[in-house]
Amino acid sequence: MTNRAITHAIILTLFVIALIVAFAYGPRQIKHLSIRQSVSVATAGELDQLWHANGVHGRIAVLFTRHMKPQQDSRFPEIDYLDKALQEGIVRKAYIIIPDSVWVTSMVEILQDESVIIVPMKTDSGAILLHRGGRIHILPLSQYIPNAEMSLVVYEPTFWSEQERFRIEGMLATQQLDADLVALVR
Amino acid sequence: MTTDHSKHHWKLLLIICIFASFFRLWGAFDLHEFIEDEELHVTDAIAIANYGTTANWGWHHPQLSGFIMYGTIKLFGNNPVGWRSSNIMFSLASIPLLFLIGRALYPKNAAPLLAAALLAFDPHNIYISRTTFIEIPVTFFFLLYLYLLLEYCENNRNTLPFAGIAAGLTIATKAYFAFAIPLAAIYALFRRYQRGQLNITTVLDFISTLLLLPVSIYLLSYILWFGRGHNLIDFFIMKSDGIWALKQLKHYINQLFLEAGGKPWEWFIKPLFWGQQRLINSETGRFLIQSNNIPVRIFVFPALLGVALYGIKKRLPQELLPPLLFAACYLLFIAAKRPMFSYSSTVLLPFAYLALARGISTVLEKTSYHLCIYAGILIANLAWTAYLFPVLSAQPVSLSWYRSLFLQLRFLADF
Repeated sequence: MTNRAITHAIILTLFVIALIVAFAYGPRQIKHLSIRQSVSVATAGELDQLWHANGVHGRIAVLFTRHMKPQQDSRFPEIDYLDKALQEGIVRKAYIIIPDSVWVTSMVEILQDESVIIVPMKTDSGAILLHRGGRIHILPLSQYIPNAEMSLVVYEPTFWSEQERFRIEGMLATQQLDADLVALVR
Repeated sequence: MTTDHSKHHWKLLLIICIFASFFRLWGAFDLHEFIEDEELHVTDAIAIANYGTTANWGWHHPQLSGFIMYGTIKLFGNNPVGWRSSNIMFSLASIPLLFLIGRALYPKNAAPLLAAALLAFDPHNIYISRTTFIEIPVTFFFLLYLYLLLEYCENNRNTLPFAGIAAGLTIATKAYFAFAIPLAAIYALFRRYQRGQLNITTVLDFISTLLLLPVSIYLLSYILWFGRGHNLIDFFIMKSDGIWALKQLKHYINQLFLEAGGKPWEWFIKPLFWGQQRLINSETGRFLIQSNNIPVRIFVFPALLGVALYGIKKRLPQELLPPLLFAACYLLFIAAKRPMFSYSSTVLLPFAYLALARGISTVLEKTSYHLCIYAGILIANLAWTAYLFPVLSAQPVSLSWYRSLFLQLRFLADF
């Protein structure tokens, strides 16, 4: 085999490896739980410990919690545990679901926050915050359509009206929103 | 060029590199606080190496520079040596590399040495080399690519695969040379065609080494990011999100400081001085002053035009290469609908100074006193840089020495 042929063979092999990494390596790093769980948590710290303890990685998170409030010393309106989870790779994409009743005021708060470096990307159903190379989708409950992929769910029942709780819990019960780990915020 | 001339050029290059080393190293690690965007770069490097993504909004840039800096941080510690040493090494390595590129383009000429000296003594390049800006390593990788490509097409060396590796490292560092990389490849193909060496094998070689290989390196540089659970579709979404995000950037925390460095059209047209100060008392202080080296750069646009016209007239593609590469990078600045800051001018300097040096040598080679003029240019350049060095490197200086300079400052913040 000539040197040229060997060189091309090496390059082609490297290219195939790169494609395998690009297509298959990432999805294989996603870690789910083998047994579905629903756990009560009181604080963001407990939630962080729950996710770490269960070794979840590369997940989609769906948050049914109170609407975001800008943090005083950060450039970005975010919930601290979500930012930590995004940084550490526990979560690769997130959905923050907000009650329709506070949707408009929430969006106004986000769009008027001058500490945000990258403005949210507006979509038909809500907005997308670009953060740490991933996307945080923000949308009202009425616009939310669950992903097919199994998700980590954080749910704060007291934040929602009875009708909204019925809808959320229905999605979880029927696995329309497929979740292997549900954190119930008490 | 005789062997004697060649030996003299190498000796002079060594002297230039010694001066360049002094300007880049002396006191570079004395400032223990972050300069300008260093805090972003350092935290990003640590985050990229640990988690595959950045600590803040800089995720839209490729990641290789983060890995390189993390390597020096692991080697030397999370301190100024760890932060800045890689940039200093890449900047110093760029100088002989530019010389070699010049020699490949203009074999029997003083232009390569002059270009290397202009880059070595450019005050802004010295300032940027002493920080963590990514423009230094990406320029080095592109110069390496260009050199290896020229060795292949001009001197028939088997360096094409290595050029492909360098191209991959370039695009895995930052996107500045997105147009320049294919332009240089087209130049190399054209030179092969001129020599009657262009055939299907050559084309396949190019596809393999200058397309598949760089793309492979680029994708593999994101292996930690893919390890966060992403696939190639997510990658394309992330890249398009990055392009979108860059267009939306409306403000920065240090907006005024960044804008003081001027817009791309100003970098080679008018004098720009801006910087930071820390007064020790009413008579002395430390300064980090940046300037666009206008005594030299004012001649760049005329030189680019002159060299381009000369190349067209003489039908010499190697004369056209530096102006075309300059234009390829400059057009990216014009076309990119986002703010461009003065540190981006770093990537233009090698082509600017190659063209300027070539213009000077083409004009002077017909005269009998060209050696004296070359010496004069080098000494004047060195003297100007030596004068500016204390105020670009935070050495303590008497304010009276630089009063006329301070009157030119567009912006002065405290550090």
